[in-house]
Amino acid sequence: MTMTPFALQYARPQTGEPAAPYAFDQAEQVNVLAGGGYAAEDTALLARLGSTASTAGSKTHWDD
Amino acid sequence: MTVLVLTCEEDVTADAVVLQLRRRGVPVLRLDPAEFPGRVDLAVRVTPDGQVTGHLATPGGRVALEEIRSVWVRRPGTPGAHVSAEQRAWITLECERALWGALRATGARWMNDPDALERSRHKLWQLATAARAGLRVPDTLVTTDPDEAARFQKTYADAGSGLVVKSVTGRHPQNPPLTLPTAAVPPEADFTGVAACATCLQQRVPKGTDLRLTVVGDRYFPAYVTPRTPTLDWRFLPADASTWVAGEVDGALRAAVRRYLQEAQLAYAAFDFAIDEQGDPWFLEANAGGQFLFAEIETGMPMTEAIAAWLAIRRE
Repeated sequence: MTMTPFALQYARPQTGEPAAPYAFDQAEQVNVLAGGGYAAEDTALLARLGSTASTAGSKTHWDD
Repeated sequence: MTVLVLTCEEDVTADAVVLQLRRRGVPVLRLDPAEFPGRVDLAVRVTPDGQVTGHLATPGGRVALEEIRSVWVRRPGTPGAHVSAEQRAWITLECERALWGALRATGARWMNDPDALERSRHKLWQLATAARAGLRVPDTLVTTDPDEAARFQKTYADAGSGLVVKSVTGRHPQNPPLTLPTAAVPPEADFTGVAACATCLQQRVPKGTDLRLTVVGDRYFPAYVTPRTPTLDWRFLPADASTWVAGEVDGALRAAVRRYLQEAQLAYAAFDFAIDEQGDPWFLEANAGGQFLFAEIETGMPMTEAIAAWLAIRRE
């Protein structure tokens, strides 16, 4: 039986990230909202989604 | 001249800087190295007299290598992410060396230099560097020795402060996906599992407030964070679960942070400090790729503008 690393006793399940209502626009080089406008300018949305939070990041890209 | 932004598509924080650069009339090319080879193309030639020429291209644009004024290393993926399994490791390495080698050869300004960035990912190096720079750091033990861990805990139990455990890397396990915030180690902890993986134990700093200090070049953006419910790790709370105040830092802290950044050769970093009951800051970490837009949203401090201004400076 494999021993559990000490630190992982304090880990908790990861909660799923909510789906983002925006998509990357190659021509604009930024994410654009489904209804138009730039995602980065909708600060209320970003705060709600946690898209820019300290812990936000991708599993496949360099992060904190 | 163009600013090259290396990041993934879902990075909305990068969007804010791209928009700011566009408003300044500065050309931008954004690409994710994970798309190379494939949607990202590269040609680079080094001539016998040392001239470096060529181009980078994406479906959205193209830039001559000699026209890159600065490179913002944000959330770049690893080349070869989309190639088939056969010889994938070799293709990844070939393409990594080609892309990062070409960019290193251009002479463009970096935020942050990839070599400095790689070194600064090491928590133990950070702590030693911070201490040398004059910052107060918590006593830290990284070990695979359960007995050493138990002795370390006894030292701080006797001192009345206790320990915390945190990840050495700051990353979270993905198989299965778990979250690993900084956690208090209880007095009855069994350290047997320390033998299974390098474990980072740290003196617990009694604190009520944290300081997130974002530094862009020589501009300092201090945000004081006070969780409404006392917690060890505010980063795992929703932003509205804490009070955020834009503040100041004194000259001594500013000078020590500057020394750290000089030794680290970083143009950007997000520092986390714990503020103890006497009001003194304790260095916890300096994240050279740390997020900042959430702190800008909460405090109004213009970090996006500062990053865009730094990137827009023309290279010499």
